[in-house]
Amino acid sequence: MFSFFISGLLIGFFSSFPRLMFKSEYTLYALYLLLFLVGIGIGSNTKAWHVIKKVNVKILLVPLSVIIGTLLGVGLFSIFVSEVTLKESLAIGSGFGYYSLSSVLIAQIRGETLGVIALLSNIIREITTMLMTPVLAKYCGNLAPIASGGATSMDTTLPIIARFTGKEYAMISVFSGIVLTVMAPFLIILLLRI
Amino acid sequence: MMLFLAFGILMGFLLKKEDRFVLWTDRITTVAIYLLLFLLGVSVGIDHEIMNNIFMYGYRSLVLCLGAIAGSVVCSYFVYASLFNKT
Repeated sequence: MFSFFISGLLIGFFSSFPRLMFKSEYTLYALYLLLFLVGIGIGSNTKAWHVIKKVNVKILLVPLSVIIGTLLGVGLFSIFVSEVTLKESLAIGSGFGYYSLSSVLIAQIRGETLGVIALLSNIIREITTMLMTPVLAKYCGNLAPIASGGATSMDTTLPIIARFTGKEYAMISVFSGIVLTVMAPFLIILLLRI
Repeated sequence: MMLFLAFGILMGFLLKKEDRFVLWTDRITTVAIYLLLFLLGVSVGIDHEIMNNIFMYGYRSLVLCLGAIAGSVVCSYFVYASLFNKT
């Protein structure tokens, strides 16, 4: 959780850790391990496929629209953030709210500065979703909170989304969240490595 | 990097029936993420340039986030209107 980042932050800020410790290959290997573990988590997940079979293939349109919408939206707004390139902005958006993995991944590939922006950006996404779900559901349709939540709609924002959109949408919320959680690392790596 | 991800997916797919394994990897993944997040925090805390300009980073994060949310909501509306709202 965020508290781990904050405690690390405070320790780093107030003490004098040897910088070398963190710029070494160890963090890279740790990240490789993490990606491997995340992959296992993805491969062993059967829920998503069950949902597709049960409902309709069209349900894939929900996470798809979130991906396209996020990339378009972030791409557009990146104009106002001149210090971050388009690709970097897209990669940050591709976290879809999944702040822990996306920030760590982006920090490793492009440095802590961008990692922090990714972290904050995706945290804000989760918090905004939690606060704005009632409004979004009422004025922008029941899929709007699910879209806003992105990857978080499968767990952290699921309760509040389900509360304001209804049980039928809860399943869509979980499905969309799972798909986006899976897509996040792929998109980030793709965008920043190519 | 992709290779590790892909290899993990393959392993997960092959081993998905082993409940204890899956549960165990889930826990380790969580630990790993928290650990790396902590390390990220430390490296950011050490970095004076970031710490001094934290609000500027906050602004950039906010802008990008709003863009992401706005874009998703707009796009999701099209899906919603065409598929869901058949009243």
